[in-house]
Amino acid sequence: MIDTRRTIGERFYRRLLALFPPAFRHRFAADLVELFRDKRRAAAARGRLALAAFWIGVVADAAVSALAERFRRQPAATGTRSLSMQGFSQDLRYAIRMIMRRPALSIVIVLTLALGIGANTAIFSLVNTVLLRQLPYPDADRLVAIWERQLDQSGGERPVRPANFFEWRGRSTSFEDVAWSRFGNFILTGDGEPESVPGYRFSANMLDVLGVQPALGRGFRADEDTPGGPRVAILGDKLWRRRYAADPGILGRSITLSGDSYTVIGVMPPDFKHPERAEIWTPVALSQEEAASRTRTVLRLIGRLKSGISHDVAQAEIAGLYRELAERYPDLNKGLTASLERVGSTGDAKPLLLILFAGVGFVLLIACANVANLLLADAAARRRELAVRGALGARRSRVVRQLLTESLLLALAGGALGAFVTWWMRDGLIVLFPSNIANLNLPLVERIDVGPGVFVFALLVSLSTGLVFGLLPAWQAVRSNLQGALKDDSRGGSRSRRTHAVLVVAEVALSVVLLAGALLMVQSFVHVQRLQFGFDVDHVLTGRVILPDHRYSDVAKVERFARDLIPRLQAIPGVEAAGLTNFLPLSGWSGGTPFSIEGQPPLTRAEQPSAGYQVATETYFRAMGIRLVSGRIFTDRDRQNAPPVVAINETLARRYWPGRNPVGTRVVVDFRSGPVVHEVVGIVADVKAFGLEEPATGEMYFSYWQQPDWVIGIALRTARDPSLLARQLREAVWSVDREQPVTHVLTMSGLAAESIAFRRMGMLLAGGFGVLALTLAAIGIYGVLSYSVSRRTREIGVRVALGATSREVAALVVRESLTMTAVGIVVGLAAAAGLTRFLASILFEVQPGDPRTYAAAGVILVAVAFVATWLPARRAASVDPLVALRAE
Amino acid sequence: MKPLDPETLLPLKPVVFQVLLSLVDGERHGYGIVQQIAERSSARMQIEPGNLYRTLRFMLDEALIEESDRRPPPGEDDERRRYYRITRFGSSVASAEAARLAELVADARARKLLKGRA
Repeated sequence: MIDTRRTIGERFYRRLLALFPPAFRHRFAADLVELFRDKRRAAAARGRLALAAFWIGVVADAAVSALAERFRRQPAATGTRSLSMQGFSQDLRYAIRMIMRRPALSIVIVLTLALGIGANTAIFSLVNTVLLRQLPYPDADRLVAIWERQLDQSGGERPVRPANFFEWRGRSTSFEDVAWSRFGNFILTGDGEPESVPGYRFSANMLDVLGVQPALGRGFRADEDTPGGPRVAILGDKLWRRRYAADPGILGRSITLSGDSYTVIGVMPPDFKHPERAEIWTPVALSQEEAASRTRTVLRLIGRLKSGISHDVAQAEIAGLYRELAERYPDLNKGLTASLERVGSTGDAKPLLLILFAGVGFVLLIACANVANLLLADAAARRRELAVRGALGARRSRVVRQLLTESLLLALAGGALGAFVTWWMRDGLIVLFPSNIANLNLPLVERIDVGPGVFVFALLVSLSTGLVFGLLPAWQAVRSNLQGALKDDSRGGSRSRRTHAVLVVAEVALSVVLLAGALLMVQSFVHVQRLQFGFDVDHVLTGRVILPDHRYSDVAKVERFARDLIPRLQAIPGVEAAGLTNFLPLSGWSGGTPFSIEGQPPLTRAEQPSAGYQVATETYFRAMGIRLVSGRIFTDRDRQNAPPVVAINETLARRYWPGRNPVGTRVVVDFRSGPVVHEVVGIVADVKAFGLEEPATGEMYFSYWQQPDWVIGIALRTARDPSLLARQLREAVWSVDREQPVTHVLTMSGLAAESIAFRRMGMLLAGGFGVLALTLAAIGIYGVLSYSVSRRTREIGVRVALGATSREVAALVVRESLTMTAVGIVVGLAAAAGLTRFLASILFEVQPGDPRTYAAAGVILVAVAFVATWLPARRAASVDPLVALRAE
Repeated sequence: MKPLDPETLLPLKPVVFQVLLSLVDGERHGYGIVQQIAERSSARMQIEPGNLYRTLRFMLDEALIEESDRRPPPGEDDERRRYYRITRFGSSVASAEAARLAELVADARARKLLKGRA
């Protein structure tokens, strides 16, 4: 924590030093940073308030000193023009007075900044929570997860086969140690309702590899990690608090997990989440037979790299070890390799978050340009006042300091408001991250952390914002001859008008970039949303049941449970169809099985194709609304002693029966118990089980009655709102088995919405930023034109007196507006062409360079510019030459 | 041209005088100076980095101080830090300023603004 903040803060300070003239910087930058560090350390030791005061002081000092240094009279002959700290409170009082004197302007500025800074703070809180979060492990960058995968990338990353691991483990030299684990779901009974607890089974060295120890008690010993060893368990903090009221006396107590008694030996610290969602851990205790398996993909490995060994070196070594394995066991290992993945990888969240962060930065820049414009116009109105102060002996540095104090104060007010709103709405952004879908490659985020780090960020952004929009007016105030302003009020206008125009052009250009990006994301979302899941999402209620081995010791018992359950589910009023499967779509669960097609040349195990392994009752397809494409669906005659049948999906049919009809052909499926010949009886529609954007995989559906499964997914098609039947679904299960937990009782429409929540929220945020940018740009254009019309009243009056029609006068204003807008659009489109390619990774079926999108962005900006021009143009057209000329 | 007469630099800005005072009894680096000044003023005077190095830049230009080439032994402090020491000219300017202030103080005392020995 401290360390990242140090580097961020220090980097910020180094940037700030760029304000100093180069000569000074070369001479003192290193010392300035050194002193900055010392002072910050001292301030941090005194608490948060002191740290905030330190930051305000140090930033204000850098800005003021840098300006003073730049405007120092050369060479310094007598005395010093450096600024002292005294007079600061005077500046502050003066600034507050000036802000209060123009309440309307100040409110507009503060609100604009609150929007800009608030949006940035909100997105930063996401970045901070998701991308910058620190794993609670020492030297976490040396931790890697190891997965097996096919060299040709088919089939994705899978857990490791035990025999492979134990064979290369001894030969690898890159790791300090590698720990292994397996999934283990437990049913916790006693002390309350039966509860299904997601757990994991760890090797004894796992906690040492991760570098964590239980908060209470101890970790696993080697003798506990052996088959038949003592049954011990470690609890997660949440489970300990929820079920055992955080009782420290839990150590040594025995609890019942899936029918067996385990002794609790430890409780993990609250931030321990390995893997995410796990709440209980037991020793993995692999049997000899399990450890020798060459086919079962079950072990999830975490390795700790030796210090000094890079990720790439370890990856290369592992790849080499797998090549050796492939040579030794070509039958099973040909084409197989393994890849390392950093622990705590943020998956698909990173690109979108970084893009949003960049987008929101643009919004802030536009806000800055707007505020700078307002302040410039205001400074022009204050030229007289500043000139008087100059005449009375105020030094230029003093004037600069006062103007900067004012803008910093405005920025801090805006920032405080923005940060407050972020803190207040902190739970609003959590919907980005699905909590029930496990397979979207997004991190599990339980809450958005709006803590000190976020506030420090808001403070830094506010201060730099204040500098960015405050320096320009201050600079101009100093550059223009203070005495000159006393004599003539309206000269020097052309240069300031150019500054205004440049700011507006910049605003329009930034808006074009933002708008183009937002439009691309909207189109991607529309494309994704048009896709079909392959089943009818509405009116489906689902639930999950995992039958424990200890009470369902054989297939017959499992089958009986399912036979009893279906009629009870169907009897629920409002249920139109009730079906069972093993892996529900969007549940995050999947499994595969190798097969071969009868009549084709035999293949080695490694070459054999594999299909997704699904079991389903005949009613499941109707309950889910999965379409039959050809052949037939199962019937209740497809049971244990009948000829084995299988239905396949369209993808599998296309891939392995190209141009042929698979219905009626036979496949040999390699079950764990041995190969079984099945007849393909039907083809069903593809189901997007992993979300709309993931391509469907080849699937085989077996009849539930021929392959009863301990993992059961319930699907109910309902006549009305399915969420109303959640209670009845649970009760139906309990009426069959009172001790059986039911989890994940969710509607399919809810899951479907969650599966695209990340993209939808990303699109809404980007769209929101686009609208915000347009609004700010419109205000900017309007402000500059109004100012320009009021400055040119006399000129317009002369034109009207000389015979210009009101139409011609209005055209004058429109031309000014269109020139700025057109230049801005051209610059913006060029920038967008360069920048939108960073969006490529998150776009769906739309090209970053899509010309129609760019055209739309340009047209929208022209339209907005016209609206913003309307009022100033009308005012110019209605100028009365008599009044205008008399004014001077 | 460096002014040879210390009087031409008077009156010194308070911060310059403070820096000179803190260097009288030995060389210091930036943070050392800041700490010394804070200590002497019971933390009322906090000098920010930019201000300090602007002041040091001025004092180096006027030859009131110079960079020291000595460094503390490794381990005791950061070797990269730059140390400053007062020049002979700097000492005489500090003395002149002190004398000027002493005169002022004596005057204030004479007018009973300050209690204590006259």
